Amino acid sequence: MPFDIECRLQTKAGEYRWFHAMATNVRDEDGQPVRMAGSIRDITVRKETEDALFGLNRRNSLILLSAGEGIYGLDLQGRNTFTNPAAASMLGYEPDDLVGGLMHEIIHNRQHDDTSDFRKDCPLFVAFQNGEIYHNEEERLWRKDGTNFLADYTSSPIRDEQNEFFGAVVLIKDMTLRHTAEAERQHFIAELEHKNTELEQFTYTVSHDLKSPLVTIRGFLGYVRKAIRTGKRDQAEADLQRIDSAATKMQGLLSNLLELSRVGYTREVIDDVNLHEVAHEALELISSHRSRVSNVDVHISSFLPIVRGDRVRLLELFQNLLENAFKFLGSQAVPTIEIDIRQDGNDRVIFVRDNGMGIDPAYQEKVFDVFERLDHGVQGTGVGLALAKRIVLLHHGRIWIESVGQGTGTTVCWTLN
Amino acid sequence: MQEKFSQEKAFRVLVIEDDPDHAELIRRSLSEHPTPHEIINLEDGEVAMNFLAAISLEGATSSSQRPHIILLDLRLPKISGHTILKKVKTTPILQSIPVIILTTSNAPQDVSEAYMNHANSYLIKPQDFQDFVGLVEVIGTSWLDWNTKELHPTP
Repeated sequence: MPFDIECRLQTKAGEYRWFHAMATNVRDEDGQPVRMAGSIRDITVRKETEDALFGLNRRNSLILLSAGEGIYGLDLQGRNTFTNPAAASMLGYEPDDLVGGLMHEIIHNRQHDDTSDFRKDCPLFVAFQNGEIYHNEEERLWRKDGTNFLADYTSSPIRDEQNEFFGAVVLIKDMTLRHTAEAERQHFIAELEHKNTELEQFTYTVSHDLKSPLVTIRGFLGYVRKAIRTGKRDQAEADLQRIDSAATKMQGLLSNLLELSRVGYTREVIDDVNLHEVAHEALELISSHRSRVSNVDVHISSFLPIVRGDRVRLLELFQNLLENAFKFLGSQAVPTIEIDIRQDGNDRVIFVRDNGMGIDPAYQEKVFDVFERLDHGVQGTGVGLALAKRIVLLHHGRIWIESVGQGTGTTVCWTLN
Repeated sequence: MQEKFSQEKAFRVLVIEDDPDHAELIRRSLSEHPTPHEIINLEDGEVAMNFLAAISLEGATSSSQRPHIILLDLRLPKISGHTILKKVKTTPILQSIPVIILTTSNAPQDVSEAYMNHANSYLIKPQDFQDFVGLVEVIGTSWLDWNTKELHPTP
């Protein structure tokens, strides 16, 4: 029987080597096999090299397979010679899809404004053609589905023994995650800075407003002492009254401060809140201590919706806005206050409108500052609108004033979430 | 309180202060000073700006409404003391009027901003009665006496 085999045989010296043996039949005139003729060759070296190569290939394959970075190869024409799973996945393809394809046209052809990124204009491709290393931390690459991402792109030429380059190896890393994290970080820093400035402003305002009554108290105490000493007591009673009022004022400021700081520090109870109900309740609470309520026309719209929020806080919100509206009615024939809702594009805007004194456009942002008072004739420590703003912000909404100015009324508007 | 200066030969003091108690304390302290003076107190920033605008419109430094000195609080309703200070020091007719900042704020940014805008002096309303009176007397002595010589020049 003829044969052609590779086999491992032991030599006379005792070591094992590989041989390639083959033989065929020799036949006589009648076709009968007479004997075998063949050859045998020592192929040990070749075999060992093959094994080594196979082992090497296997290891390299494993490296490529396991690498987290995307790696692919290019030949001189810019065609893909291999793609590891990471690169394929980043680009949205199967590894085999890309082999043989012109990589520049597939993943790099478009600028983000969709104009063609011709080879001769593209620094990446030019570098490749010149056999140069190219690195860009923010190269925009296109995926199979048409989306794009920023990648850290490195291309290194592969050279042979004569130092001629015959292709390139490209490494790509998806930079998207790093960018999002960076953007988030910037956002948090900005928020912190903003809060810090707010706190500074708040502290500054509060310290002034607490110092003032103290100056009054000490100042008039001096005059009262003097009056006792000299016996000239006529002014003393009035002075003592001023001292008393100043002390009361401080008390009021402190309790308002406490209230203001409570909002946002005690945990909210989120529920479905019927704003129509809440508005009525707020009006009742105010009526119980305000004498003027009866001559004022108060309209509460039946369209006030049910919203998600903290009922206690929302009640406070309505109370503060109503109180404010009452305070700034001024003196007029038919004072009216309306609580209603309107649609501004996508937003539902709830508003409290009065036909009173109005607020000059120049001060419409300032009024929300704590303790800011525009009119000394009007009683109150001025924390109402600041509190209202706090509550609206807590519900992720916005609050603002609409008013043309003196005598034309004020509308306080706010949105929730 | 009055809204216009009316006395011919008096030293005119314009106090811009929103706290009526503080205004009273200032008035009493000044009244202990011998030189005849007239005080107008304005309680908010907007009214003060209008008052000053009216004077500069009159166009003469000899205007009978032009104060000889301004005592200015920083924290006022509607328009801040800093804005009023800037207005005075950048208006030709008003520039030479000494402006004394009298405020509760000891914040460095307030002090430096005031001096940057050419305040003549920055006094912090102290909580001690003696200091307050003393402060006002210092103002009184340096400016009023100087003015007395001007109003009644010694032959």
